[in-house]
Amino acid sequence: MIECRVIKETGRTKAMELFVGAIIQGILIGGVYAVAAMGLTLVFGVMDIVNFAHGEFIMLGMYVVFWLFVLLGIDPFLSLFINMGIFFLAGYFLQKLIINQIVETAPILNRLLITLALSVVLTNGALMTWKGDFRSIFVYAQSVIDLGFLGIRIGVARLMSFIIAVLVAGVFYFLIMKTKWGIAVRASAQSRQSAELMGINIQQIYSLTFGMGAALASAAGTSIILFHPVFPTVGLNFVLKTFIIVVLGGMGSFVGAFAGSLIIGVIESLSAVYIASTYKEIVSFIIFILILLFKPSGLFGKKERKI
Amino acid sequence: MSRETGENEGKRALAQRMAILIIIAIAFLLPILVQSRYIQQIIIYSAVIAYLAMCWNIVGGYCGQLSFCHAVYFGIGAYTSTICFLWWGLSPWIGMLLGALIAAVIGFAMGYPLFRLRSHFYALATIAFLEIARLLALNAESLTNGPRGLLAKGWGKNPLLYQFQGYVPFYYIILIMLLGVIILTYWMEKSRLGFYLRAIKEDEDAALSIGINQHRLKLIGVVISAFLTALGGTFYAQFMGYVEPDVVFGLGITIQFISAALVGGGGTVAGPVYGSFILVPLTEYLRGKLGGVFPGLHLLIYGLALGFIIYFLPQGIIMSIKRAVRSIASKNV
Repeated sequence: MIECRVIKETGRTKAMELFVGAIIQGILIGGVYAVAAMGLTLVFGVMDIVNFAHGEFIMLGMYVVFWLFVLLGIDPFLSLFINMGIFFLAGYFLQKLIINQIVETAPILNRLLITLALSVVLTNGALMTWKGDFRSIFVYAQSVIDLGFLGIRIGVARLMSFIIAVLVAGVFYFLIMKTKWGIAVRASAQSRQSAELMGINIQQIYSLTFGMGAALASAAGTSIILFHPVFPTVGLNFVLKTFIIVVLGGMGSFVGAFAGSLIIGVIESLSAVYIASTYKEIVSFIIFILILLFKPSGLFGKKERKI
Repeated sequence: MSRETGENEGKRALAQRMAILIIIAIAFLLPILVQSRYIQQIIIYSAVIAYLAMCWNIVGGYCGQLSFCHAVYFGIGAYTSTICFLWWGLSPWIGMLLGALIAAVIGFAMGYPLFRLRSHFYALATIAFLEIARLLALNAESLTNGPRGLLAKGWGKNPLLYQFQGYVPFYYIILIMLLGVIILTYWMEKSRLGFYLRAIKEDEDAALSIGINQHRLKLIGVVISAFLTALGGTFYAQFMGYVEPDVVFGLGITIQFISAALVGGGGTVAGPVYGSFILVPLTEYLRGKLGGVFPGLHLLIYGLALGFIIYFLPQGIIMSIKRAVRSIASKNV
């Protein structure tokens, strides 16, 4: 009788451990998604472009950190800055030289198609250059931290990637909310015409925005490579998740992107525990379609946005 | 003056008809002219992509709905006939129609809610839908054998079971399918439906305001398109002899036929055919030569071609050629 109760009790704490553990894992991964999602939502909000190549920026960012670490032994924390710098410049000029023409003249579908073409080129360019091999770096190897309650343990790699992500997201949020540049960006997102009338150089803002979006994607890549191998098609997995998050949070909303990331991260890790993990992605895609259909403005988006 | 141009128009139309007849005659004689199995294979694959690009063109070109889920209909066609044959011994000819019907129903069921969304959100939703289909096919192992795929047994001696020896019968099947979809598209373009669809593409709101029920028309478009795409899926399964989820439900093949359609010219009858017969032979040749050294090269070319066309010739190759010809002709007159 007593034995029976003891087993029941341990069963309950085990279940509790599993549950809380899954939530913590979800928050950690959600923080990483948030950085990628903020970049996507920024570009969408300001330029009205759904950037398919966002996932490929993440993928290339992962490769940059990988090679800097393997060839030059540079710590991922340091290569974060190198990475963001490279991608900011690349995105800036990409927008200025190529995408700008499309945004100004072509019908809306072509904006989507040009980023799709870019994504196909980058994925397969990476496949040609580095083949399909999975590559990982083990900076923090398999070391774990014991949280000291409920026996929950977190991988150091995941924790570090979360810290990187939150730092980047915080700095970005400060930039967009408090600086002159950020105000100009938000003004352009609200109304292009009024922003231009206020003397904002809209072309400059577009290029800065696209560069910033790419830099955020590469920052996400930096934190992902700490716990996830890189291969040429890795971008697709993450960009689809990012689309889901951005739609959930409301296209163009930063708070929404952050909250959406945490929600999707937690849902994902909970469903990995309680549903067969093969079906967890199907669940999030179904949620995605349902949100598009029934609440297209997302949880935090503006009501009047036309979809 | 006007009479002269009228005569010119008449001459041009006659010449055009003759050219089309000659091309069709060459197409039917091609297996006699070309004996190399390698080249025959490339031609058949080009025709498959051309056929799929034509099917996609009905929704993607004429309705202007950027659909990424045509590979779902394609995969349903490929898997339905294969599963019906392997599990119940049903002839793929019947399985083909069954698959096409299932694809049409799914196209309708998906289109009904999703066509309410505007342009890029529709595109995003169809990508999610494609991923759902792919993951389901990967995980329903008892039916689809999961990632290991299924052998479709298209090579044999029984034409009643869609089995043939050699490439030539397959070539004639896909040729007839391709001609069929070309004629259908041509008829559609001249019909009321075609005008309505183009009106929607030009301006949805304006089309709505003159009383065009765009939702219904898009649904008609997607049902026809899904039905035909699934027929192509069965052909692909029988011709390749093998289906696997990552290929038939994959983004790779989707990009191939979307690029082919848009490079040639979306929303035109001949565009997708031109696009396919330019891109596929080029990429397949390079894949054969360099595929071992540079995996992904063929898709890279599709991406570059798509980007190039959108950037420089957004209406596709065929429209640009037409315009060039017209400007030369007008100078001569």
